[in-house]
Amino acid sequence: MARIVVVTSGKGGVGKTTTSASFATGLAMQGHRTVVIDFDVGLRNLDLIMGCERRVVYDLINVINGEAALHQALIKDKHTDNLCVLPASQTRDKNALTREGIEKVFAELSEDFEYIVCDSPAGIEHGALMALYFADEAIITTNPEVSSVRDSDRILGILQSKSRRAELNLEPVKEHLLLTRYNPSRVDNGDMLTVEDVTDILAIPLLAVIPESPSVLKASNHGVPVIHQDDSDAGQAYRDMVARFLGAELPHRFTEPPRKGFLQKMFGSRA
Amino acid sequence: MTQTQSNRQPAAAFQLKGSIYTLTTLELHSPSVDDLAEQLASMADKAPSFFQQTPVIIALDQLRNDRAFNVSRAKHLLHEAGMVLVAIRGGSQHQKKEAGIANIAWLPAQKAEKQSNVVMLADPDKNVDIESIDPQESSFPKPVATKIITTPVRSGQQVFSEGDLIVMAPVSAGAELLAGGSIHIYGPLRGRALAGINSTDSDARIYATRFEAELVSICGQYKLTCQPDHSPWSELWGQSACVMRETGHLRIRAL
Repeated sequence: MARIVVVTSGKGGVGKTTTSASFATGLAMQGHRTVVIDFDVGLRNLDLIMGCERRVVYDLINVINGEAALHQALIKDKHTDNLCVLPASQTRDKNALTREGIEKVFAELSEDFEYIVCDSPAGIEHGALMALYFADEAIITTNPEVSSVRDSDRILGILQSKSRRAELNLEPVKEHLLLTRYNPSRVDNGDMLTVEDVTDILAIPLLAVIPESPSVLKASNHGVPVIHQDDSDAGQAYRDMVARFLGAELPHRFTEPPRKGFLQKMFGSRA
Repeated sequence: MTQTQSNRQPAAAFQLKGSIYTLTTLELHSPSVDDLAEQLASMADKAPSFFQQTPVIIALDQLRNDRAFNVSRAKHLLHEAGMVLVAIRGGSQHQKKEAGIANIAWLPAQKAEKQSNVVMLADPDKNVDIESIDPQESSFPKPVATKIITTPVRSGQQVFSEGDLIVMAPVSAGAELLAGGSIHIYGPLRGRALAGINSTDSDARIYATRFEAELVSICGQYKLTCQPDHSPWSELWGQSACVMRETGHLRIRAL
């Protein structure tokens, strides 16, 4: 049985799709057969971030409606073995997602894959509820900022009450906190919430801190998940995240501002 | 015309309705009518007109040896004390027949619920002073259940308890706790807590080991907290605190 992991947040623009792309890629790079599904029907983005937008023929809704077979809709990733993308429909709306349809797709995917990563849409409407309903684990993507933290808190409440595991009284969905767009210098200035502030409010275990990095935007626009960039801090942070998710114990990095050398202190603003 | 006439029913002389009344029940612990007479007399001495025309039921449920009890004599005795015997409850077939002869109703025995009387059943011949039975005990209200929550109460969630509410996890901003009784939070309270919601005057309190509430309310009286003033509310921010209602005002105290 495949492990179903939902990447969710409540709030939009916090990095769910970026995280889904890099996380799924990371799992595949570790040798796990992984599929990443875009649940954002009508606002399809994952295919862009994964760089496969020109190869989309059929999508998730076609499969649910029986208009296409699953293997026709699955897109094999160019960069990584073991990884497939199941894109969302851009022309339908979220009501096309049905619980029975998704269950059928998941059952079929479970035969071939170890991990099913669901990229949830923002909000707490039907699309987001469908993305998280079957989840075994959840990656709560949060920015160090009050409104994002509150929305994450809300989505945690929904995971506890509206997921399949909650409804059937099974072991609750395993929750992981992923803090994205973290800028240690701004945290030091008091502009951003600290890691401790966020973990204190949400009271769930911290999986990783992804630093704010120009490489993320660049990677998105190039259609290559940022985890492929070994030299970028965000890419390294995502690798740490995947390793920790798979059970490794690593110290958290990128939570302190970079130390300035003597010369940088002297000529800091000009350097 | 003829049709309407034929359809018209004669006006009903009465209508049967079921009603519930509270009646004084005389629960007998001794089958001896003499004992009854003695106690009635002492009661009538204390309050002569208290029982005037009071309908009374005699309960025989607690008696084992009820053959010795004479229904007609008891009816007469009660009449002298000013009470009207309307029925007997429980007893044997013999008592039921006697009630018929005495022109009073018969009610089936009630199922034994009151634990306080168990001692009587075990020892029917023992003379037990009626005064020794605590009247409070039988009418003691069932305690309202306390609800205990052990997982975090998240933003947008609402928890309601008819009685007290105990939360052993954080209560997030945007969450709401409602309780008929008091609220106890072993962790940070960042959301709203409303205690004593079903009454206008109760001793309900709100306790939190880390007080950072958005709003607290007791018996409908509320206070938005977090004002940057120099009151105890901001001094106790983030501390262990208790909110209570005193002389119509909400007060906060350190725990």
